[in-house]
Amino acid sequence: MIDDPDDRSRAIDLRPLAPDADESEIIIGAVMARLAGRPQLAAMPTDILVIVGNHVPRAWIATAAALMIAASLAVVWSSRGRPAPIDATIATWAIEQHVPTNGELLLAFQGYAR
Amino acid sequence: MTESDAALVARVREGDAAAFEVLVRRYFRAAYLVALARVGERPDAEDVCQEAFLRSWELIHECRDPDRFAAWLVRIVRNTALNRREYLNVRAAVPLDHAAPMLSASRSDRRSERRDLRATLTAALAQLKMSQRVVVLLHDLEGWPHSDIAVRLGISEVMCRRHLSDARKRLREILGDYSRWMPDDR
Repeated sequence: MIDDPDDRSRAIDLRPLAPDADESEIIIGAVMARLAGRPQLAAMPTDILVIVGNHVPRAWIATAAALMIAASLAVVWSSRGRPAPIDATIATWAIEQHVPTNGELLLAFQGYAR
Repeated sequence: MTESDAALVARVREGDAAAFEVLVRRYFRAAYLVALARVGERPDAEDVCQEAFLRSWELIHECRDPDRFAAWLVRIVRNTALNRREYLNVRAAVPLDHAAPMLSASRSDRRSERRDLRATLTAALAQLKMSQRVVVLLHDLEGWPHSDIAVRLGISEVMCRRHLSDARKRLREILGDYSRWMPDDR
């Protein structure tokens, strides 16, 4: 059962926890004293998306978003099936002290051109 | 006529320290109690309270809804208290020699009695959940209605009432016949 919020008789007297008048004045005085010479910070710009949304036509935003998605998909698609990066392959050989065969070198460098 | 929070915030944004002092006095106790509920010890609550007000002065231009200055201030107090708690947790890991507090010989019995009561209540409060502490202090001590507490803490009124009920019940269990400890004249 929830206490009736208006039933003060159910409340515990917590007044000793509150700062008394003297203590309050000391703390408020300290705040006001420390305030002197303290600058107010300029308002932070609102969210960058809000700024962009307010100043750029929505059609442009939609086009840019579509291009970014297309570019991301293209990158993901083109990276599929690609052999391991050559640096990683060489590092693996170095760690394992493996002497690569001609065939492995050709495979790693993808032919004589590199 | 009492000046609205929004009007005071507008003046504070012009650099009006007097307007800021009005806001500080208006919400000092609430800020202090939220800080106390969070950090548990009075000296820490005082530090948190001061820091939070100073931060609110610095960041006043970021108070997007001046009509809800109190809710914004409470968030600053909570964040400041959170940082303070983390600092205290780190400090607590290192054993320190605490000097005994300097007690004035002229301190009256009433002050001593009040100090004992505070210690008793602080220990009892420490056994409540954080949300229960904040709600019971703001409601029963500061007199904020549930609607205000709910908005300013970002919780529902139903949850607020639940926290208050649970907090009171727990405090009664811990403190027992608390009224016999109360001084005659506070």
